[in-house]
Amino acid sequence: MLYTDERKYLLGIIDDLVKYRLVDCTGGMVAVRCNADHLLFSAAGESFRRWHSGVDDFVVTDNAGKVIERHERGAAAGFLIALELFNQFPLCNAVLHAHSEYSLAFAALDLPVAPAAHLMQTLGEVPCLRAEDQQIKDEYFRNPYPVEVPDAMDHRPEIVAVNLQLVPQIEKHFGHRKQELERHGLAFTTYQHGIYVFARNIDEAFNNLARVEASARTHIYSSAILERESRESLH
Amino acid sequence: MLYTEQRTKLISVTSDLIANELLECTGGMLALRVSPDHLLTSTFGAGFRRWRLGLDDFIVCDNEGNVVEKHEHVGPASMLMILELFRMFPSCGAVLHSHAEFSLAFASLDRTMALRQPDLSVSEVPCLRADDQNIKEDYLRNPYPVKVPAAMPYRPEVVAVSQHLLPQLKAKLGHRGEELAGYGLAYTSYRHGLTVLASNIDDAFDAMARIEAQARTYIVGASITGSEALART
Repeated sequence: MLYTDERKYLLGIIDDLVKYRLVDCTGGMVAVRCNADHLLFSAAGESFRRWHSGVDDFVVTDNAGKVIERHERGAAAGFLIALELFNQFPLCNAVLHAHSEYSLAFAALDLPVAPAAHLMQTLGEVPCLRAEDQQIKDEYFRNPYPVEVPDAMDHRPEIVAVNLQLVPQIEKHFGHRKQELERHGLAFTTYQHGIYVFARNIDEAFNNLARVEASARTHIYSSAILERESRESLH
Repeated sequence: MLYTEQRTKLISVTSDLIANELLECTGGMLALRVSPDHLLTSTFGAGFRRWRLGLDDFIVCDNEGNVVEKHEHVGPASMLMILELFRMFPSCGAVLHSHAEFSLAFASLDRTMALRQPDLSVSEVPCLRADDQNIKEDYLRNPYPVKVPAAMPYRPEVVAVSQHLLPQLKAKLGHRGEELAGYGLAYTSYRHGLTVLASNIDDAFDAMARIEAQARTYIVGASITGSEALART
C-alpha cells in the first residue's frame, strides 16, 4: 500500500476534526499532495460511515486524476475541486472540505465570511462560490450531456456538472491571491454546501478551518447580542 | 525535568477544557505559579498542534520571563501579559487564556460582561481594547524599542500590543486583587479572547466555565426572547 504514513496522519486529522466539531457526518473530504506526482484523497462516503475510516479508505491519483491506487471506493465528491486547487496552486499541499456548522450558515445565505476576530484577520475574506447545485443536477438528469468523470471518482456525472460550474470561480476569486499561500491558507464556501480550505500542509489547513469557523460563529453570536440589546433598549 | 506533577496536572486540565468546550485549537494558554520564583506555562503554537501535549510541551521561566527550562518550543506570545498578571496580583496562582466561543462574541463587540457569582454578587469582566492589527502594522512600519521576554518568541509587534493593554489591565483590574480570594478575576481582550486568573488552576477553570455559561445563556436566551412564541405569552 502506498503512502501509509500519510494515510495514518490523515486518520489522526479526521479524529481531530471530529473532536473539535469541524466535520460532521453529512460530508467532507481530506486530501494531501504526497509528492510531485501523487495526490491522496479520502474516499467517497466516509462521512456516511461516520468517519470510522481506515488506511484503505483513500485513493491515490496522479495530478491528472488518474487512479494510482484505489481500494473499495472512489474519491469523495469534492475530488474535482481539490484536484483543481492542487493543480492551480503549486504551494497548495493540502485541502480540507467540511460542512462545518457556522460557515455553512453563511454558505446557505451566499454570504462571505469576514474576519470577526483577530484570529482570522490574516486569512482575509472567505468568499462564497455560487452554483445552483440541485438545479444543475436536475437539469443534467433531464438532459444529460457529455461530461468527463475522472476515473478516481465513482460514476457521478451530475456532481461533475456542478463542480464544472465552480472550478472557473476559483481562478476568479483566488488567481490574484496565490502568493498569500506563502503565509497562510485560503478558504471559500460553496453555496448551500460547505467550506473548502487549502494550505501548505494539512496542519495549517486544519488550523485555518478552525479560524474561519470561529469567525463565522462569532459573527452569528455577536449579531444575537446586538439584536437582544436592541430589543431591550426599546423596553 | 522540573515540575513534572504540575505539568501532568496542566495536561489533565487541558483535556478537560477541550471536553467542556472551553478551549479550541485556534489558540489559548495555561500558566501556573509553581514557586515564588518560577512560572510554568504552555508553549507557543500548542493550539496549532491541536493541544496534543506531552510533559515537554511547557516552559519554566522566572518572574522576569527568563528561561529556566525549555524543550522544543518557546513560551506563549502573551508572555508579557502573563508576567504582569503574576506580578500585579501576588495571590494569583494560575492564568488561563482561551478563545472560548461565547465570551469571544462579547469580546468582538467590546462589551463588558456582568458576571453573577454563586453568592449572587456580581462582578465585571471588562474588555481591554487594543487595535491589534493596526498596532502590529504600525510597529512593523516604524519599529521602536520594546523588550521581548526571552521565554517568548521574538515577536516585538505582539509585545507592542501587550504594552497597549497593560495600562488598561491596571486601571480596570488593579484595584480588584482581593477578588482573587473569592471567584477569581477575568477580562477579555478586544476581538481576541478571554483571560481568567485565580488562586489555583481549578478555580481558574471553574471561573472560565461560569463566564462561558453566562455568556452562552445570554446569547442563546436572545433566540428565545426574540421568538414569536414567547412574544405571545
